[in-house]
Amino acid sequence: MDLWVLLSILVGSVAGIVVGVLPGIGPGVAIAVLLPLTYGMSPLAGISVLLGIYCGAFYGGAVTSILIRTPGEASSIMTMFDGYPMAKRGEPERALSLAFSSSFVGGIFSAVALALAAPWVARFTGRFGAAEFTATAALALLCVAKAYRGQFAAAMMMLGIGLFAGTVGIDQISNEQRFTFGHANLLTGIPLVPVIIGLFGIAQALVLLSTRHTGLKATMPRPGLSFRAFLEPFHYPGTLTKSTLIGTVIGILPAVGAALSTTLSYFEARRSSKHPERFGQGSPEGIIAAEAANNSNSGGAMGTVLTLGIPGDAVTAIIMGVFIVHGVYPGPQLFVDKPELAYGIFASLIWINLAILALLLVLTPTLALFVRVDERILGVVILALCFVGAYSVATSFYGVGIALAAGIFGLVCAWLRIPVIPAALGMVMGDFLESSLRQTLTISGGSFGIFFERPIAAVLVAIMVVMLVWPWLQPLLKGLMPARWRVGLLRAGATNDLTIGD
Amino acid sequence: MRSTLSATRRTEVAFVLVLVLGALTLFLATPSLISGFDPAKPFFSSPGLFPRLSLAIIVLFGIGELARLVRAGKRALSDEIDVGASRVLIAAAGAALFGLYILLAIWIGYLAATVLFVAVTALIAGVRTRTALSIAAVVSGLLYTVFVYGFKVWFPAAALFS
Repeated sequence: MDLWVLLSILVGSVAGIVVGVLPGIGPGVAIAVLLPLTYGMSPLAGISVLLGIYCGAFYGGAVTSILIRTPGEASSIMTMFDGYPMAKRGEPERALSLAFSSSFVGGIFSAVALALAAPWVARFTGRFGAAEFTATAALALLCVAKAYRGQFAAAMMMLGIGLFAGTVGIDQISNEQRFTFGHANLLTGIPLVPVIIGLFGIAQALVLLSTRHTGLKATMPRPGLSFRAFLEPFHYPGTLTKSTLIGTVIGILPAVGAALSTTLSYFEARRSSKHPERFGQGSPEGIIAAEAANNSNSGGAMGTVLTLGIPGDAVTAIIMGVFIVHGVYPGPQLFVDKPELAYGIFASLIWINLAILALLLVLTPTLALFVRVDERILGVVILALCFVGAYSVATSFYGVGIALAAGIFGLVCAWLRIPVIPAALGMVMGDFLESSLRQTLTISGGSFGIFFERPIAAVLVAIMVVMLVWPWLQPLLKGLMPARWRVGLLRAGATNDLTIGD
Repeated sequence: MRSTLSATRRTEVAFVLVLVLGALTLFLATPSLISGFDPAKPFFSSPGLFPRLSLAIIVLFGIGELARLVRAGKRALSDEIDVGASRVLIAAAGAALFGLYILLAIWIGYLAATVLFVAVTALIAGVRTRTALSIAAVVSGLLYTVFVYGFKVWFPAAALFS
């Protein structure tokens, strides 16, 4: 592997671990802010930096969950349930080592599974026509909106805003100007990267900046790691295997996210454990289940991007932005046109997990220092980074203005609890969805019947219809089924309550 | 609309209403906002198809969201950014200073503007003077070195002095 790629992996991994520990900022913010830095790099080096941040944050999030009962990421909540009690009873080294070791197994497994399965999936999706791609993209976007339970209408509205924003500028098919209002800057459209920097970076920085400072900061112990506990997950092969599989499969599904996979995996481990009563009181199985599922998400999520060209969440949407910036379009054709890049990403994922594990052996005792960073200072630094990041996209202050506008919009949405991730995904996916839809309708002469004539497209459309009518269908089904089945349905509903933002 | 709506809920209603009305206006004005728009063209080859589809989604689901807000239905528990401990005025001042930062970068140059922006923003956020000034010096120096010398990002000369 190229030396620059290895260096990128190292930089991204360090940044990811720190981001996972830092209060208030997640991998989405870090990736949005650092995205412009990747422009000068080769596609693989650029993507490796961002993947390093993505995976490193999963590992870093476990540190604060275990030591100070503060999950850095939503997906680290389940780790806290058993990690913190174990650390509290005087075994922080064991808890951290269990978490890192399980994360490592999950990360490596999902990367290898992705490397083996992706070419087969790409071969299958390679048979897709415009109708199938349209239906797949529409289904993925619908999944994203459905993940916001109780906010479905708001999420769909924001998705519409993202899709519309993507249409501004010169239409690639007809060459007509759309919604440019005579402004030369708008001819090339609303730039994606400044919008992402604004929605995620500036909005979050303004919140951090305005956070009431109490002066009180949790003090974190500075433990090392235990080699014996590193091998402990292998004493629970069933839990480790099941959790890794759950994480990888859920990672493939758009918008479902790591939080749901860790929850499902945790409860499955408790259900099948010989000692379910120990869960929540420092059970090693609880930590293994949560962390193996958490980190195995990354491979699955990247699989969807690489084989279908469809991002499932904000982070993979931004990573997909790097592909597009470099003129590379993810999808089945990637494995034919640029196999070195596709397989390079799998190799990167494996190297990233190795690098993170090695770094954690050295860095863990010093990570405690990052928890004490003042949020307000962090906010100011992120704002300064956002400025130069948005400027360097096109060496223009126009990009900074767009980022500021998107930041204010994102902040207002955050105050009003309106989700912005669907808007970002809509913008990323807009071009692809529009060209696929117009191509499909041109083939069919304007008839939507084409979506029902092709079997795969018909199945995807049927799934969409069921998802849309499910709120009305569910009470009807409940009325028809026996009482003991209803309990199962209620439980499934409770599991579905975990949403992107949780 | 019921008078019992809370101030936050009223702001939400107003915000969504603005989005819905804006989308509706753009939907209706689409033919005049696309150059060379030909109404006689089949709908599937029209450059207006996808924008109108997107705007229709905003209008339809925006109305759905308005109905939910007015009915004061179940409030979603999740949000993407935790704004619980943030202060509106400081955040608004931060946004205004960021806007000023753009103008300052044009007038007095990137480096001087960054020093000023970081120092003033940190002071407004309540950071101690000595810390704010130290951070301004370190952050500006680091960013300038990394981006201008490292990544060769070009910034225009200060308009005020040229």
